Amino acid sequence: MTMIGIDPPGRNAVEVRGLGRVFTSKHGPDHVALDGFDLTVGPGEVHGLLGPNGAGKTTLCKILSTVLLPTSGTAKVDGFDVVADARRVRPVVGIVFGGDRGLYARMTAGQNLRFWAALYGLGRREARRRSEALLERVGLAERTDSTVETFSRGMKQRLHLARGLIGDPRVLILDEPTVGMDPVSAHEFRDLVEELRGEGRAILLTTHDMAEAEALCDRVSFIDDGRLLRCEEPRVLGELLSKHERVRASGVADALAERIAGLDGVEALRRNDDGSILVETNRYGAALLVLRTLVEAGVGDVSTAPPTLEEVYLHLIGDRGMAVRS
Amino acid sequence: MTLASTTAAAAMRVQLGEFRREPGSLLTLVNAPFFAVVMLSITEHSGRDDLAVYALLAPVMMTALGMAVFEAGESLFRDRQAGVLEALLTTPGPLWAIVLGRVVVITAISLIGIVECWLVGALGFGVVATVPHPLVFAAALAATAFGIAAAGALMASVFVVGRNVRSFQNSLSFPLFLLGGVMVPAAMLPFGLDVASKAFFLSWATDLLRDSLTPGPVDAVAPRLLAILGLSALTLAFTSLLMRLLVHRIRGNGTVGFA
Repeated sequence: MTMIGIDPPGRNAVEVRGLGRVFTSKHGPDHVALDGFDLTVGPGEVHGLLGPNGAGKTTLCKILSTVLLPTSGTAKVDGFDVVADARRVRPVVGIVFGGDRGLYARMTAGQNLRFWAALYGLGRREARRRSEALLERVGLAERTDSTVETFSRGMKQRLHLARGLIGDPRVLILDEPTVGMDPVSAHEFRDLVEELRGEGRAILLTTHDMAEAEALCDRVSFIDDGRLLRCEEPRVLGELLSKHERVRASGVADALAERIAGLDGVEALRRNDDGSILVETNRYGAALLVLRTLVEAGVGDVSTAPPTLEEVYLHLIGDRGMAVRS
Repeated sequence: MTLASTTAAAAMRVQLGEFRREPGSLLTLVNAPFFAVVMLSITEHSGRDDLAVYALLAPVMMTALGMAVFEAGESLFRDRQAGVLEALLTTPGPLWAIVLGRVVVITAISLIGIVECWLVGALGFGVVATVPHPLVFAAALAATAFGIAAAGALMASVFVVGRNVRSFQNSLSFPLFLLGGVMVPAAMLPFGLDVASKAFFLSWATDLLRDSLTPGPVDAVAPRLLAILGLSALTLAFTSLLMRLLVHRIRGNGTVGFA
């Protein structure tokens, strides 16, 4: 296995200090996408950037991959400033943008990868060798000679990942890489991220999938409105997910609903327009207690779900204020 | 091989592939024989057989320059629309090398127009083009191709900034044909345009190409070739500078990913 390390060891893969980005518009108010944002990604670390749509995740990725200039603050990748040393940043960083744009649709997967390989200075033989290896790695070897326009969205995402790796980057930025992937592909993708971590690459992974962040990351930063809310170990995220589990049930009489609302660990109970109830918990094991109560009362239509990202955010801010740990 | 050369070579392969997959982008070559018919009809019916060389060369130059200016711009426009431009700018490969690689292929393909137009002349009008000064013609043609590629790259660089330059692209061709002395020798242009045309490589190029196709001595070949090459190199240097400025601008205003 090839080990790709940050040189010299100990230098941060990504270091962002007070980063700001304001988009000005002739036809409306300015939009602040990043506001004094701080972030550190250590060598070989998988760092999750978790936030809702419009939080500033993609803006940060674009700045780190040198396609967008910040309006304030600094950002360094592998020790190189993304503004002053952009030419030195590009060979060490690989970016996988979300969505299915950014590929030549009428070229084959192999042709696409060989083209991008040349842009990293690889000769034709090495480009071919690395393209084949990467297509094998992302599970597209059998589609090497198929044009990209015939690919599903998930397959395009996998090809994007191969493109991001073609330059053998020390730092990999994955901007919502599993969007559009089916569950099996998403699972395989997670295995691949583990492999890349094993090779010593630093990875910045943006997502709004909390389970994905919990499963893959060494640390998770929570971003909203362009600001860093918290930086935590994924264990904290896991705790929030299980602590604030929700239970949904249909056919629950008012008296039973009242009894459930009074159970220890039940934070809120509301009745939806369709007559079902939604129970929010705030203590480990409370969801189990609610489930047991419902089943014992003969309610059959019951399901559980993790809290939404917005709810986790509310709990994060509400439980511990706006303290930032990096 | 340098990074720029591998990048340009890869861009050339992409452009060749696009021509294969999208024959519609070769439409300008379909128009070339029709231009030749128009031009040759005028000279023939006005009894000016001495101007047949002009009539043969004009559609060739119009095809080559038109195709370079249009297709080079279009290639970058399509890259932008497909979100490829954004990904290109994250790589170490220089954008100017990508554009140059593409436009070199476009220019080379556009020279098929020579064969088309001269076949029209020979088969339709009995005008057989002779080349009394083949070496001068070959040198002038190579220098002209370099200039046309530079002009195409310049046009493509404008497409870096965005989506509203197509009308500019459409209306640019004719003034370039005029200033380049494609249809009328630049020396015959009124309103000081003859002087302005001296700053444009194409006026030197068309004059030298015409002279190479006309019996009689050709004067000052070397200085005229140097003028074509020098002005083309200046165009290319300006293109590189402009492209760097425009890329910096779109990185600044955040419009790289706009389709």
